[in-house]
Amino acid sequence: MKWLRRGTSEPLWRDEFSVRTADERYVTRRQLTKFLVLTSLSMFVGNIWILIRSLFYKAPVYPQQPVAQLGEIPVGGVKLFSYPTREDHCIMIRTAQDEYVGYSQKCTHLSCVVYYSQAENRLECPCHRGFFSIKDGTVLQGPPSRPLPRIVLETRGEQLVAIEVKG
Amino acid sequence: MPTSNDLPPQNRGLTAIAGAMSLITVLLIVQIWLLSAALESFLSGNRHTALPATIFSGVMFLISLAGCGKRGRELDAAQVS
Repeated sequence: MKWLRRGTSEPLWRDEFSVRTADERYVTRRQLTKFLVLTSLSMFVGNIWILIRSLFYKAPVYPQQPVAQLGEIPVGGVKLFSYPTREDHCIMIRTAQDEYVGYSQKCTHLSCVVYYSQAENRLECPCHRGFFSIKDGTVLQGPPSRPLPRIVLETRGEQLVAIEVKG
Repeated sequence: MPTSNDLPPQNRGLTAIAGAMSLITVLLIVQIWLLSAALESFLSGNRHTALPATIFSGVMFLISLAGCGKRGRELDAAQVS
């Protein structure tokens, strides 16, 4: 903080740890402005961090993993599985005779577990009433601002194979 | 109606300080929004928004820094007078 101080004969410790309690609690305009500018700097640094992460982003390589047998679940039924790692819990729904969709079970708001509501035909997060479309995972209602990551499923013979996570 | 030139130098300085602080506060609110929007965009897979967000955030930080320096000089001038 010394570099932000104007030239003064007072030592820094006397500014920040005054002998009198009332003085210590007193915030001057100068101190408030310094705080605002330092907060502004931290926002800028945060943006730089995001930029660096964007520049050095490498698309992950996903494994190809069988997650279910064809006809294993009935139409309107659900199967839970893990993809791409054991910690990434996903939900698969059979929406029609030959149609399966898979989504990450982690809500994009605060990571609660979403479940399938057959009555409403949508994915619901019980924590803050966030609802997602069953067709593409987009947000229908509630606080989440991003769609659910979609698991790309492929039919290979009698097996459903997860090949990629999109979003 | 009195204008700012009619005020004593100390009051003029304090008005300028309040103005500069208000500007810095508004810029900071915009920066907070910009950071959260850039983060949301990054997490949803749009990586091309990071550069403009960083440039705008940097410009706003420089304006705040300049405002802080100007405000400091005005405060010093107000204290002297």
